[in-house]
Amino acid sequence: MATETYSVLLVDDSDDDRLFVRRALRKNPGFVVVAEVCDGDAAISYLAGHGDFSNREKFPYPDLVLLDLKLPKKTGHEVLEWLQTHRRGKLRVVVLSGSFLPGDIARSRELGADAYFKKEPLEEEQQTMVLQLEKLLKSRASPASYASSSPLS
Amino acid sequence: MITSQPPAVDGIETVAEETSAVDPAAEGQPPEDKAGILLVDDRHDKCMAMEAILANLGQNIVTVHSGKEALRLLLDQEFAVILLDVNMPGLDGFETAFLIRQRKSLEHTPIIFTTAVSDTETHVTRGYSLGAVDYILTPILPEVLRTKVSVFVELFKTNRQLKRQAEGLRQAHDELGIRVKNRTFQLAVANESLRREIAERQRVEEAIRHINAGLEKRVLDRTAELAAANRELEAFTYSVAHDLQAPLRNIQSYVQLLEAEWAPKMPPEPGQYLQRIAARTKYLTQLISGLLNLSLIGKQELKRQQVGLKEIVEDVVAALKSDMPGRRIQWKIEDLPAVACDPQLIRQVFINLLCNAVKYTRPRDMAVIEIGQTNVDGETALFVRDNGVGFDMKYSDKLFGVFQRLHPVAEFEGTGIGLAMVERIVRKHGGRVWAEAAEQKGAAFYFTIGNGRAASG
Repeated sequence: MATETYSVLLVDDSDDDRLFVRRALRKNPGFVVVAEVCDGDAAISYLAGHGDFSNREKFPYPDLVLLDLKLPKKTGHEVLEWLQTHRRGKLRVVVLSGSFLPGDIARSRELGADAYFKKEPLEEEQQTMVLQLEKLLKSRASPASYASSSPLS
Repeated sequence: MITSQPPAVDGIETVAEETSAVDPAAEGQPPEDKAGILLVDDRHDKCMAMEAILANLGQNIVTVHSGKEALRLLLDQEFAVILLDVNMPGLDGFETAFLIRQRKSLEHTPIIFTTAVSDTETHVTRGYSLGAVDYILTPILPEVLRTKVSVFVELFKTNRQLKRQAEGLRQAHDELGIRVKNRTFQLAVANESLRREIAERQRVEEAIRHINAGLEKRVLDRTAELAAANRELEAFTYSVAHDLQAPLRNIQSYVQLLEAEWAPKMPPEPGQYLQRIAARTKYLTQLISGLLNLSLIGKQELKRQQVGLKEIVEDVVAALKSDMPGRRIQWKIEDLPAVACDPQLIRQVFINLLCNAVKYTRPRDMAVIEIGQTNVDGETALFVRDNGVGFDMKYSDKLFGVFQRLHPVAEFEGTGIGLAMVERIVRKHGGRVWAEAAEQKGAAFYFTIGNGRAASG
């Protein structure tokens, strides 16, 4: 039985954070990190397929975007905003942020994020998140119903 | 009683006297009260006779022997009556009377002419026209003389009395006038000084009011400054804690990484160091996280709603129960009121207080934790009481400080943020929090929730 794999785009300006997310995801073979970008503009370019990213062989359109909020050039919220009019197919966008401010969480939800996770240093908590990401992707239900049971609500 | 016979004198018939004693009423009068009787006659014997007759009136008898002398005397003295002989050499009686009457002050002095009976017709008319008041005919009848003279003496005295009384009244009146004037002046002075005092007082009051207004403004300004400084401090704390979080989290992650992948391969010493680093880093993260949560309380807007406190408490207790199976705890939850408050924040208050209660009753076989309400100074206060290890009240003012702990971390874990958070939340609601405890006798934490009229911190 072939397990489905999900391609992941990491958007974070911190090398360390990207390292830890990669390691966390590695534990689950269902997730494959296909690309990492460091700012909001690059994220939009990737998803839009501009420039180098038009090569979808090299830079496939992801199933999941893990998006930090604090980014140079364009912020995570601005990327979400762009995605409101440019989302393709069953793309899931999940915010992974150092902030747990109610304001940030609410705004992310408003802008269409499918889930919101706080960056956790402890492995245990990281694995919990990975499991939840898996559930999120396995359920191909429309974002609307998921939003109600995701950690966002 | 002295009896004396006046010497027999020509022209004067004297009648035997019964008594010529001095009138007892007149006796003993001070000299100034005696009236003056002026006898003007050139015949010495006549004068002596008259003096004798009039002696018992007890008045002042003055005798002169000519009109000229009389006039001179009248310049200085006042007389009740003048007995004037008509027949005198030089100035006769009428001429003298005329001259007397010339003087304004002597216009009304009674003049009695003495004249012989035989001359009566001619003299009397003339006499009266000159202002005489009476005649005494010689030979003089003593009783007649005495009576007539005494009449004028009495009249004179009465007048003098009246004059004196009038004078007295006038003086009294003047004196009164002066006293009134003085008193009025004093009152005016007093009034003026009073007016000045009032004006001064008003000036001072105005100045005080002005100063007060200035002070009030300064207090308002200072309060605003302090509130702004407080907000700045909280914002700073938040921003610092927030910025510290990310790198700290990364350190923890690397430590974890090392522990997970390399600790088994490490020699014991560095392995131990790594363990210690991991523990301290975790603690540091907890501190920063606590600080962050604490400063967030200040940042948030308080959203009050009517909330049933009993439901919140029961909910928290249920969560705690499920978190620690195996602990023997007797929960006593009394009836709690519904209040206007922020449910999230008040929930956090109960979480912190109840977690503390649970933690510090760990040494007890059977922990007893009560939650209820009580009345303190007319206000409703909620309390959480436990039978745990308690604390020494002399450290009670440190209880609610940030990172303050009264027990060693080894015995009871924690960062010392819980109560600081409770204090901040309660203060934001306009209430206050305090505690009562004794070592090994448990602790009770009380708090009130203001009604929103007080400023939120």
